[in-house]
Amino acid sequence: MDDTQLAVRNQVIELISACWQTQVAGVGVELGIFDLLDAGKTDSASIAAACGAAQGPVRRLLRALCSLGLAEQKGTDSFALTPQGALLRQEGEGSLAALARTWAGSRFTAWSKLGESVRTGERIPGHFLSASPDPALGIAASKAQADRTRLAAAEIARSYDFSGVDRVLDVGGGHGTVLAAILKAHANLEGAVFELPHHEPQARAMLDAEGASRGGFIGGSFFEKVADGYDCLILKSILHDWPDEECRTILRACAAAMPPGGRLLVVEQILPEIADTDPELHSAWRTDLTMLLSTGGLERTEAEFVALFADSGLVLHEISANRSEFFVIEARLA
Amino acid sequence: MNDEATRTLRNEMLEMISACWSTQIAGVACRFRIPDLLAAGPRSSADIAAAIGAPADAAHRLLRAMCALDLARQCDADHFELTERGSLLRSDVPGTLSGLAQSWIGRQWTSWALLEQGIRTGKPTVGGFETVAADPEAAVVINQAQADRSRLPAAEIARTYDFSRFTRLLDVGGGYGTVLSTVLRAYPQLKGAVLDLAYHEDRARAALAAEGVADRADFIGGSFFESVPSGFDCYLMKSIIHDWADAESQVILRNTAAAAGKGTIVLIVDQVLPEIADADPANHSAFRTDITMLLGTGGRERTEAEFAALFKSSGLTLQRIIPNNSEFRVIEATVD
Repeated sequence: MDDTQLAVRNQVIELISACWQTQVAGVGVELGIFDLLDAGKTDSASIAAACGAAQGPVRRLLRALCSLGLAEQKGTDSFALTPQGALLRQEGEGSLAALARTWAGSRFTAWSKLGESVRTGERIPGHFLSASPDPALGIAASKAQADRTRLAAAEIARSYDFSGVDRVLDVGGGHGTVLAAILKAHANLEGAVFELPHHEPQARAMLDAEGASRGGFIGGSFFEKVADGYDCLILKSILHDWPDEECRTILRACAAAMPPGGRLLVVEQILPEIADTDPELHSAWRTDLTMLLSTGGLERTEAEFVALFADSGLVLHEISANRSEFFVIEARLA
Repeated sequence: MNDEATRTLRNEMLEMISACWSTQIAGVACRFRIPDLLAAGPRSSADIAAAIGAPADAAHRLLRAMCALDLARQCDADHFELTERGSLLRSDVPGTLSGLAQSWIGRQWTSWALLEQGIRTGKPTVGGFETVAADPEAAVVINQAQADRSRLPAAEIARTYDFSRFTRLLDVGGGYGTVLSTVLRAYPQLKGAVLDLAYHEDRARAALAAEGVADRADFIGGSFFESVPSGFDCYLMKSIIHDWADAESQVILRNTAAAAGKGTIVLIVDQVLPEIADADPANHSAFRTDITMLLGTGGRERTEAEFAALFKSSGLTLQRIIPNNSEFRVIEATVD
């Protein structure tokens, strides 16, 4: 077998078996291994004792973490945290711990149904967790979403020109990660999170913790009526949760609440019209199928956003990019 | 760390955390035979959708994701074709990875979903090998996937290890004889046999005939836990020892040593872990398989030192390890 053939074969085997990475990262978080390494526990016996597991298997998991670059093996039984692994500690700037648990848990279960979902075109019931009637599930999903959103929110706050804006409403804003980032970066702005009422305690706690206590919370549903009195509405990762019909309902409710000259910032990933292998776009293609499976929603191309706006009394004004995978798609009243 | 480095690190982590998507894309594509449907050239997603019985929109979205993973290419708004990588997922090419891809959305996915339980208990999560032995239908699927996955490594073994000094080779636990037939084709002087459980005989003989070595290759029904036949001057076992914990491995190796006799060469073909784990992507396969074994069979991957110790306790001596271009190594031992 020549080297090229071998390399291609190995790439495809890696791709086929890639789910191991999701599990090794997620279970590392679940067992608290990254926090234990950070706290100075270095050998498999003390890590195993602290997480209540047997030493042999824990040592094998630690080696797998090293293979993925999430830890480093210093000696026969001595392990240390790497910068990658540090992002999987429970706390800390930009922690991806909750996201890792979600992918190894409920998302892993949802993705196991991909074949079924492709065959029927239907979502798998019970996997749209942030809209779950069970507050505990909804809150856990919102926490994972907040972790993932944190850095993107900072990018949006940094790169979008908020001059001329007075009052921001983060529509479907969950725990207020995006609002907090914007309020922190722009001291002149006022704002509020608009979200289902059961999220209020977590949202208020998050705004306080982020030093954005001036942000308010308004309980409500964007399928009924969006609060008015705000000249800048934000919809981050909302439209992709829904098919076109529901999106039009949401967009019309936003348009009805917007004052003349008001702006609507739709923050989403954007699919190219023709698929390619750009790794920067993996996230968008992956999320498209996560939506197919879990919410019945979809990722969209620019043309598809333009069409949704046109149906909802809005018009595309400008699309701005930043260093995250999310674009700010600005619409105005038509 | 600067902003760009932080961003790169975070994106790498997001890819790793959500890596399971590519397992599903590849596996579902194979389950629906999409690579076969694209084998003859570009087709529209509506055409593919009709062939697999799915709505056009859902099929289109699956095909786009295959493009993102370089398994397919989007030619225009609605047509897709297979890439070099994707063609390895056709079910009819030598060394096809279609069976492997389907096992990763089936049995492998189920066992990896229980990783936390596996690490906490140290026990297989899906019932171990006994359940396979008790379920010949599952065993057929596993053996076929294993045979396909072994094809290219088998060619590497035949290319890099010198079998010219042997006359009779036994492929211990050889399944459908992929390794044996590959070596026999490369060495016309050699005869050999597969030793495996009796219910594999028909399929194994058919595979040996299809490979054109039926006149030189026999099938012997039996379990290596009971006895191994003598009368061979080289004993080979690929992906066998890693299926078992040390105690069972010692039984297999002692039975082999007893049959082979003093000085005879025993070749273990397995992956070899480095003594100290590192982040070399070339070792991903070995570290991944180690946990797959923990979850699936109760076996393990081993380092060179662990192989040496295992041989010593089983009446064998490690001679050398011969690398090749695949992830497998030929670990050569002699009977004491």
